[in-house]
Amino acid sequence: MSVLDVSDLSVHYPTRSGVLRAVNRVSFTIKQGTTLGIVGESGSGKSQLAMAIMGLVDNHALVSGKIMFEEQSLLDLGNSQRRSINGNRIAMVFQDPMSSLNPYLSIATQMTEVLVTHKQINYKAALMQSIELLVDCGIDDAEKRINGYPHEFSGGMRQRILIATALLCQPTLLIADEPTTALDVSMQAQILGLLKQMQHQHGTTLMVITHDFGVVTELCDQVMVMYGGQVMEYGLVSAVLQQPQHPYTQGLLASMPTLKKTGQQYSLSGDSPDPVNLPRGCPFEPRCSQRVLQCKSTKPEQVLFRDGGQVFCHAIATQ
Amino acid sequence: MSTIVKLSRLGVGWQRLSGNRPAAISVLLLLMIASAVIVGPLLSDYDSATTNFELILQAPNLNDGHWLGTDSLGRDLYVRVLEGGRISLMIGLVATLVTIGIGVVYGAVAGYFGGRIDALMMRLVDVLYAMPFMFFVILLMVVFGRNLLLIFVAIGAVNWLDMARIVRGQTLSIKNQEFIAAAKVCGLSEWAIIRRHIIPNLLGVVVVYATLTIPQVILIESFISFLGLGVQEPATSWGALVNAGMREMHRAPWLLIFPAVLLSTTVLCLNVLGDGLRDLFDLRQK
Repeated sequence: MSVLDVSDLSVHYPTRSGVLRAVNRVSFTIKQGTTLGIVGESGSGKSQLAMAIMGLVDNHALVSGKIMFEEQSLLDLGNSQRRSINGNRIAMVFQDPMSSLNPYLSIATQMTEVLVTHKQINYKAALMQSIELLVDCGIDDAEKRINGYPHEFSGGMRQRILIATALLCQPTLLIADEPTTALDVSMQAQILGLLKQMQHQHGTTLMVITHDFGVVTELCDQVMVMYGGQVMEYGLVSAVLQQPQHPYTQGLLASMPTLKKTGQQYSLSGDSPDPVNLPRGCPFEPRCSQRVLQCKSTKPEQVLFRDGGQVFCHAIATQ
Repeated sequence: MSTIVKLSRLGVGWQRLSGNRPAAISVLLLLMIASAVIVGPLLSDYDSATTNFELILQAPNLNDGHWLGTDSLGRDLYVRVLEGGRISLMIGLVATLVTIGIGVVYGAVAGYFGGRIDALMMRLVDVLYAMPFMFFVILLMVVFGRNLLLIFVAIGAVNWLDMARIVRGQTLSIKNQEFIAAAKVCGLSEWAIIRRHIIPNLLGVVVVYATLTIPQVILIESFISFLGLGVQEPATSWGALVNAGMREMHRAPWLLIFPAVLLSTTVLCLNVLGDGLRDLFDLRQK
């Protein structure tokens, strides 16, 4: 059963210099208990996509398309209905654990308020549940430390606290927006391990936004590569990473630094597109080494592969 | 590590404040002034209203009970200074609380919601700002009548404009921080976010500004009293006493010196304390 079913989702912002197209006609589904990784460089629209799912895009943004969460259309919900889902059935973990906790409130206050808001239980019961989850997430001495303030914890610890907070209400879907970007490498492995373990324990469906293919291999079942607010390639992790079809995916994978490689590091030439003046055709066309005639004028159609993978590319379509 | 005793939050606060010598001394001085103002008048044989035309403009004298001398109507200055202090401090506190109450909520709401609501609310502040301040207070006094409590409220009701602006500015920077987005993601209502996440983060700024507002309000009160609209004789305040003392400055300097010293000490202590409190509330500096 699919937990999240997004179809034709666009997020546009009217600005003085034109319409800023942050997300363009993105479609994907995530099945119960699986993990989708969304990969792309900065400005590719992956965070806006998450914000649209959480219902947190700016008031003046134009959001079109459909977001179905457990047979419920999220875009048709009112504010209070939305709020009863956020933090309860869909939770989110942010990139920077240093600034995601309110410096003036104790961990206990910040965790219990989520439970008290959604579950109609008293403070004491909420505190007990919070402590339990902190222990599960690897905070030693949680009973005492829960009364501490954010500045008393290290970055890794705070990310654990944030993950614990996100899992408090046993959400069906957990969105993690670059959960390991702000952490050092050894901490990254631990946090990824924790996410995996929690997913296993609670059967949570995960959506991970990242620009790190290491995270994708470690965590995800499916991966979606985005560029200029559009999907470039979408499929099983094993297929996409081993045999990338889209020139952009190939370029991204080739520009990953490795320890073995010597000599000049490969990098894609050119800049990412201006979201206000996106190319009429494929957004990657100006930087693409395999472009064909149609790339400039028309948007590429979906090319389906036998294993369910999708690629949006004229060069592949014409082959 | 286990030997560290967990102190209460107040205990930790005092410990850190006492590390700041000037602030700690200010607290002690303010406590002394406050208790003197409350208990002091009871220790004298005189009251603040009885006139004695045989003892006009007496110099301070420890033997006859007029410890700080008498004024031009022969009233005991010691009692008058302390009872005036009661009113001055009370006006300072109540008016500041009103200022904080209105200003913080107004500014936080304007800053948090932003856009059209913000523009509308802040234009209203601008309009009120443009009104002649004294005129406004006097108008309020005329409408409310000469009730002492209403004087407090009237001053506070005019004084919240600065607070609202400061709080709004601060809110604008706080609301873009990630923990506010995290709170939204947790499904908290807008009011809960303002109350639990924005306002606690404003505390430092608000406390510092409040300690600066108290002396300001005390001075405003003395001006209103000078115009004859504030505290009415025989009741008095520090501002009124300083004004009266100024007239007798050549013949009886103590009439000016004692209330002026008390007034300026209080104002100075509040300023130093405000500075200390700002450091205290900045948890991240720890």
